[in-house]
Amino acid sequence: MAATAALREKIYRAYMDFFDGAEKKRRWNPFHDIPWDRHDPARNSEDKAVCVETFCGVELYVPDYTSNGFQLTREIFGQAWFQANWGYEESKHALVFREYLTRTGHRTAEQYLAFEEKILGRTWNLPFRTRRQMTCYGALQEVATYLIYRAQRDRARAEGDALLEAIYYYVSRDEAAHMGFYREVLLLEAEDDRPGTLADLAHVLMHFRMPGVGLVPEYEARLATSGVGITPQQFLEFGIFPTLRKLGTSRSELLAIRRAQLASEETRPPVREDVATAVTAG
Amino acid sequence: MKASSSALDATEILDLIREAIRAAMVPTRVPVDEVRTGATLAEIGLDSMGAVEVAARLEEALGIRFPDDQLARVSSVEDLIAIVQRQLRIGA
Repeated sequence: MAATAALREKIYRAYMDFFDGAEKKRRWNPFHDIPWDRHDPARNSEDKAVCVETFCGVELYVPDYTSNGFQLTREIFGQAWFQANWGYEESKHALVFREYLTRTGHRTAEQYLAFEEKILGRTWNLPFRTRRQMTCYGALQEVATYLIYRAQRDRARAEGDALLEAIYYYVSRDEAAHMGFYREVLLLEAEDDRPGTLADLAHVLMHFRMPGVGLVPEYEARLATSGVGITPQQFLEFGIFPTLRKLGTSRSELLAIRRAQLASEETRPPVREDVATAVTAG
Repeated sequence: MKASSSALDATEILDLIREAIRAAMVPTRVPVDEVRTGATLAEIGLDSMGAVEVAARLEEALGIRFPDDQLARVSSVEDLIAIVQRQLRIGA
């Protein structure tokens, strides 16, 4: 589905706003803006290590996220350039988490490299086929990630851990900005094609999974560690419902669309695997 | 499924919840008949959208509407029963 010239222009404007804000207010340096000297070894804990290691693992798929993302967005300046900027910012997250794990002694260099090897031994693939569906996914995934990092920031602050508080402050601020951009583009998509955008959103909502599922080793066990995930209630309150409000829709409308999709799928012959692959690649 | 009472007790609402889970056809970790009042949605295996689907079935069955902010705070069957009773009282 090609985007119209008008839509491409609006997305470009949205990206300019995003980029301008990033340049003016959000640039940070993992080496100079993080108070590494405030690390207190007495505050080290395996809980903190598991959290940071898990987040680092998810962020390590930046090469897959960006290469797949570029395939979908390369013809749309605003989205492709956002993808580049997004990849840069996410790469800093992986870097700062890696540095934290080894600088603080939570993991040795060898332990970290063994973990990284496990992570990069697997490949992240697009969970959805189209650019617009991935925009829906981005809007939801970024808010979930933001909420997780924000909760970690608050926890670090409550525990008096200035180092972790600073790290989570910077990464959560980036994620909030990413969420804002995705939501903005989703609104533009809905203005361009409301039925199609809502159909995509309904589909994505029903199949949503965080990117680490099935990739990060022992992901389910890690979720049991306090703060690695968010509750379904938080996801509803701060993720799903605000997204629906932004688009001027409701859960009732989304469910009606979803039921129609399911009814349609029941009457349609199953999609052949080779066809599905071709669509993804295209 | 269409219930017509403004004064359902907790057991009746629990039956309606089980029926709503079946109607929503959402995957669960426990057999629907074994869903108990004390269970959390996580124990049942209802994720965010699973909860939304079940809530929608209950709304349709009972002719009530759950405010989004209240639905977003439901984490157990007990919470769900409480919100149904509250909305039934408001609508009575």
